[in-house]
Amino acid sequence: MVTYSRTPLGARPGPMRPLIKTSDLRHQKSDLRPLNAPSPLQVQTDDQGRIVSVWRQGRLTPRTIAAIQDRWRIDDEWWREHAISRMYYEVVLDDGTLLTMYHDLLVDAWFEQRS
Amino acid sequence: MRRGAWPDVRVACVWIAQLPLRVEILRHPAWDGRPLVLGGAPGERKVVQLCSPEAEAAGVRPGLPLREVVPLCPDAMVLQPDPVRTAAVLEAVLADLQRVSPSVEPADEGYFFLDLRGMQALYGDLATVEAAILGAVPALLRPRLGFANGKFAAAVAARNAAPVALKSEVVPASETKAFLAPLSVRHLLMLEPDVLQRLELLGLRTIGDLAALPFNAVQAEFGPPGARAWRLAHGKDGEPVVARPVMASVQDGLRFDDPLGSTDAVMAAIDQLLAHTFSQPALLGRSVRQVRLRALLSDGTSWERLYTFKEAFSSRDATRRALKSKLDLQNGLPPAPIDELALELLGLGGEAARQPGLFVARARQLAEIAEAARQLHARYGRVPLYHAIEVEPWSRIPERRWALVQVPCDL
Repeated sequence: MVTYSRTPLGARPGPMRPLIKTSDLRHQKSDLRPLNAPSPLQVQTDDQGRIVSVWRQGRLTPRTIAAIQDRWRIDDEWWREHAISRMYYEVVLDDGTLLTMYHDLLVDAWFEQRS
Repeated sequence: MRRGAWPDVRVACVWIAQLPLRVEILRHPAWDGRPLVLGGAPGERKVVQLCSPEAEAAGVRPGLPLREVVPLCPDAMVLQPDPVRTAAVLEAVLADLQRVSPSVEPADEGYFFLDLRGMQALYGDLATVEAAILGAVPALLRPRLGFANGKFAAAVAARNAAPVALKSEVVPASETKAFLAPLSVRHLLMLEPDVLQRLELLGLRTIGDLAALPFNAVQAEFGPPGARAWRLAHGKDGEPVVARPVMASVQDGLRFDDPLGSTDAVMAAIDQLLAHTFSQPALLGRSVRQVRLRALLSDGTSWERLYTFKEAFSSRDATRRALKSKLDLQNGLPPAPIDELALELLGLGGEAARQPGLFVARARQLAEIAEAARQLHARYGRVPLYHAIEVEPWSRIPERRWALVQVPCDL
């Protein structure tokens, strides 16, 4: 039985899921790197569980969330050993940056990702 | 000839016979009058290329195998070509002659043509011009000077003139035909050797013999070169003096305490020279089509190469790669360690010269990417180039849709 990491692709080193198509098998020997992989994010919430600020990787200071523009939920691959359950947020930071991030509801961790 | 006045002449010709040998004598004045022989460069045929009159008197001739020189002339000094110093002397002479006349045309085999039109008001008489010209050329180079109404007659006059310190040959326009008439047709260098042989077989041994024939007959028999020769024989020479165009270039040089012998050491020096030359304002926003390398070698000789690239480069790295590929070739490096190295960037063009086309075929794009991958692999041992492929474009999970795949070397 093959075990897979729960960590999203590219978030940390480890074996990757065999997701490639048959037509792309010739690329298997190469270093297949997922595009648009999520990166970890620190999020601060208030007493009511609402997101208040985010601290992105490589940044010196956290940024306050000015507005939440959109949110949606993805529940997928429930038939696999490791299901996926994410709550996505599209937020505007106080410096005007548009950021897409999600809350992994199964492991209670936050990630930044371009949708 | 009247030397105090200004006869009807418009061209002066300075001829430095056996220039490479005279340049060596300029470096070593004690060698003047000794039998000198110029051999081939390393890798070239071992035959005599040039020999001084003293060596010629002993029986040495151009084309003679070098091993036969010493038996014929035991005192002969066999020299190797020194293209860098010869070119440097030519440049210096040209620069000095340009102070005499603004329009100077350097030609092959040590000829310089000066346009004298309009110079009378400046110099007054021809003797002053003669003194100015001879003052611009080192006497050890033995320059010969001829004045005439055209370039051809001036060159013939220079060949007939005595070397410096005696006197120059002046051929006014009205006397050109008479001056040329008794001379051998071998002076008509624009004619091929077989044509000259045919002329002699026909009994036409002098330029006067050719001039005596009808123009139509000469043109019909020898074509355009024959027609031109006939006109020259009649003193009709309208060919203008064309000054060498000014070519923008950027150059720099290095001198080494320890001579450089390996490719790596030479490339390190070239890196430094490229870094300095490409940082100069003259190269800002411009591309380079040619690179000239000149080196003075530890064995006393010199080495020169001019590399013309298929495409213009505007970056230091691209120029470096191109140069390295040339130096890595067999005989790419100089035959001896390098004491001094100079790099000159030529053929400077605008940035637009390397602008790619708007509609580039995909095959060509792939070929360019494959070439870039090959060069990266050669340099870094891997190919840090990726292209995106669709994996699960239908997936709701963003990272499952696309992936990056390394570009293979054999794309």
